[in-house]
Amino acid sequence: MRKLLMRLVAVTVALLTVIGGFNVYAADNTTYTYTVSVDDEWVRTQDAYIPAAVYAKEIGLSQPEDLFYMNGKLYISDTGNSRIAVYTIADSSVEFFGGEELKAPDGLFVTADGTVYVADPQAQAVFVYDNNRKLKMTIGRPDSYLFSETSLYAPCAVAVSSVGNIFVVGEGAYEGIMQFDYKGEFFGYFAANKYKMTWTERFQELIYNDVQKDQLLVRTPRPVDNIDISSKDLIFSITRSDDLSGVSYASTSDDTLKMHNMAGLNIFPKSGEMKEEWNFVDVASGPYGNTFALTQTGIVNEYDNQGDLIFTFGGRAYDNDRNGLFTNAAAVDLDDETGVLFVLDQDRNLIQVFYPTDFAKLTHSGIAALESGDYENSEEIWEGLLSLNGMSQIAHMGYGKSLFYQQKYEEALEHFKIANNAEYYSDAFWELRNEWLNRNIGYIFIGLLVLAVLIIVISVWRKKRKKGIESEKKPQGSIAPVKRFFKETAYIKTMLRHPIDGYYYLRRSEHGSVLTASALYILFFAVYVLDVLGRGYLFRVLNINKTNPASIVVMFWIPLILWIVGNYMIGTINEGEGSFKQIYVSSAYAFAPYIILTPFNILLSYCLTLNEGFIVNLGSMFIIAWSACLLILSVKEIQRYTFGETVRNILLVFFFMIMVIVAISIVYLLFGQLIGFLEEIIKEGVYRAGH
Amino acid sequence: MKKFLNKHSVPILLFPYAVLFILFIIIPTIAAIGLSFTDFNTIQMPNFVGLKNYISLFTNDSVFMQKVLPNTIVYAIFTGIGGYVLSFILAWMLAQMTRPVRTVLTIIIYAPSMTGGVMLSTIWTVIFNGDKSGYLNALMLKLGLIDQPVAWAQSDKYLLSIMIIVTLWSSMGIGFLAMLSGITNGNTELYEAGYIDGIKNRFQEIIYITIPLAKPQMLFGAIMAIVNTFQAGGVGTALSGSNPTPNYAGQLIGTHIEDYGFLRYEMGYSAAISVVMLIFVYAMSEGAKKLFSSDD
Repeated sequence: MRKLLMRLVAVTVALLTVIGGFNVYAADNTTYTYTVSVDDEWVRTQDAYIPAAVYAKEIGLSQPEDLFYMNGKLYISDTGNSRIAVYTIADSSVEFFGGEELKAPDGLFVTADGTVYVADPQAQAVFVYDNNRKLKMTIGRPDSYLFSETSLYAPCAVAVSSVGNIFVVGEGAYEGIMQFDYKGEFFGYFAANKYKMTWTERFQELIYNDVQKDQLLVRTPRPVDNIDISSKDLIFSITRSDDLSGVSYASTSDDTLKMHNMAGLNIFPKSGEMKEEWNFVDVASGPYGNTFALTQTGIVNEYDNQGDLIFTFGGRAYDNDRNGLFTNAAAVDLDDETGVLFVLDQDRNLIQVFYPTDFAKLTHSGIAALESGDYENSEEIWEGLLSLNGMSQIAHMGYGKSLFYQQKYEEALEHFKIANNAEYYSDAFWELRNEWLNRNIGYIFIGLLVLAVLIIVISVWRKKRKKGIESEKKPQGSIAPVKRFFKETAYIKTMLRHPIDGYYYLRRSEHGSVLTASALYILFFAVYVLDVLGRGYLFRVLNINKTNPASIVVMFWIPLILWIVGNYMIGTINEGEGSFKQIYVSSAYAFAPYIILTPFNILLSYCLTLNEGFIVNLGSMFIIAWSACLLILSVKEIQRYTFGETVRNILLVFFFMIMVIVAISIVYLLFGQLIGFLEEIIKEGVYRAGH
Repeated sequence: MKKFLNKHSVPILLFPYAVLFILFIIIPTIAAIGLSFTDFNTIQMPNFVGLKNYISLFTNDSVFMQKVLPNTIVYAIFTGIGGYVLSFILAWMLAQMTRPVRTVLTIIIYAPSMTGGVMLSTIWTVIFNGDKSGYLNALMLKLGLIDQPVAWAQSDKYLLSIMIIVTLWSSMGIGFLAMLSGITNGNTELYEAGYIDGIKNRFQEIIYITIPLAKPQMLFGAIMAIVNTFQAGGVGTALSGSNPTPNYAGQLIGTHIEDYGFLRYEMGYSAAISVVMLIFVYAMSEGAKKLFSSDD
């Protein structure tokens, strides 16, 4: 027994090392790493970064604002001490410079040749030092006519492109990012944020005159807070939607992280489609087009070049100084070669170092391979990653894309479907459908030809036959119920072609039966369920796995029953002439177009891609409109109303439906309260009786 | 001689028209069908290639399948059905007016379809101009709806919608005139009779009297609408100033034929597309005939 147990433990350990072989430090990590699941929710994944070391704890930093990594050295703007610290990682040595000019250095940037750019909002200048730490240039307030006299000039972040253009962010500078050439000459603004007007403001804008507009508050867009520049000279900017002090004026996390192209436009996905935080403080771009964004609370989000979230980890230290958590995170940067992350903690005056795990490295190499077009390689990598975390959206997308670009559409389709990405799914499906068409085009042509010939032959044959039996007429009279049922079902045809006449005969009770109507309602429900749940993936309304069947039943039957009952009740008090039976039957016939045409629409939804998707949507709109018209006509004809009365009646029925639903829910709630109250009393009684 | 002329008056009177019809309609159509089975580049003799053009149209021409066909369907649905319904409503409304007013309004409404090309460049290109002097841009900038001018006619997002609007504006053509005459020339006594028989309002009047009366003209209007819709395409080219239209956003079957026929000189392929278009138009016209056939 003991032996068996030992063996079991050994096997488990061996398994764990095989499966979890990517992170040996798993137990040491302070926070979990999360990613986005295929259902667009947070899901825990393997640790991506491990807090491994703490730097610069002993060098006496004070309220540091920014750090920058370059060639084995960490440049830190030691804001409280008005100087720049350079920390060499290899031997933990430190040097300081810039004490004379600097007042409160904030953002800094270092180019590969060792030139240091320091933005100092208090000194109102950007200082440029050469690699001997000698002051080379000072960029003071621009005197260009492009720069307004009332504008603030308080540089707080700086980035330099590979050709030497200097991008400067000013505190409260809502005009955008200031752009200087390599000589420090101002030549304009870049990538300004936009002010989003609320609907009230738009309305004011429309109707107020100039005097009234002047009295309104000045509306300024949010200023940019921080920037970084990638190796490909793409600018990343951060715009907090909220004051860090918590005084909120627009508490959304829309467009807080942006990637700008040369024109200054944001090329990350639009707001709402990206997982962003409102309190970002710094951004750092990685070597594979990936981006790291840090929140003040110490959460690090890593994004790929499409703006999709790869990992998120880190967090705030509430009561103790644990490694990997922050009291007040201020800046993030990384070593492009090793992928090591450095995060500055402003309150604790130190730098925490995060090492990427093999898992993170593998993910990065997968992204890099995908971007460079090495799809065979990336397929292998993403397949491996998928086996580690089958819930990860980014892994499914990565694997799917690798397959897609290798023209393995069928497999790619599967993964796009799992990752819930309709656009890629549609593309893959298009390719598959095209292949199928290519293979079968001959048969399709032949089939069409045969069909055409058949149609012509049949129509000719029918014409001949019609002539022969023109005089024969069906006998009228009482018929068996089964026959009557079929006859009334066939009456749908008249209903579709001549609705007004159709309802006229229905009212005269020459046609229509309760049995047929009931069958129609059941069919209607069946088609509705099929329409809502059974469409092709691209046009799906509800996901079958996430839908409560009871809710579909309730959503369907309650409005329908309320409609019929309400219609009858409102009709009787408003001089309507329809009996309950007539209303029941006529409403059923109104849904005939939906019952007959929707199955075709559903079939179509399996053959079409998003490209032609409007056909399905237009089709279902058309079907619904037709049914709605019939329903309105049914009220009009059965109750013998004029058009105006019909509209009034329908509005009243809607009002009735809403009131009944409200009443039912109130009663339901009160009933719940009553039951709870009774339970309490009984419990109390039992308790008292017991003592 | 006179006897001979009298006896054969029908073929003799028909002769000039028949010659013209055969020369300019029948022969080109047959030639196009013939050419669609060849590859013809207008310089060398055409080679017979069988169904190759048709097969590659439906399998290899991704522009046709991804852009042209969907565009044409959207365009046809909106301008065909929309324009048709609109011209019926307008014709009916005009028919309610007194004669002088009706005449003036008819000319005004009919005018755009006569002057098509000129008006297109003078009105619509100015309205949808891509810089801030364009009327639409200027208006929207003033209202603060956009913050920089939009190149409406050159953007693949808006081109098709603009084409639809412009076409609807100029769709009150010959079909509209036919319907107007169909409605106004109906026997007015029928309406009085209808009221005696229990017609209560204008809506019933339209359903039970106007439409049955104007059925032949409405059929004519429908077929004209279908043909116009499929033939059109010049609108997109004229608005955006290029063929192919930007990102194929406004590419219709008509422009696609032009693109292959007169820009790439692949006449055989172009002929195949036009045969496909012919089949579409024929099928739709048959459908319209079914819908408006007076015996049902």
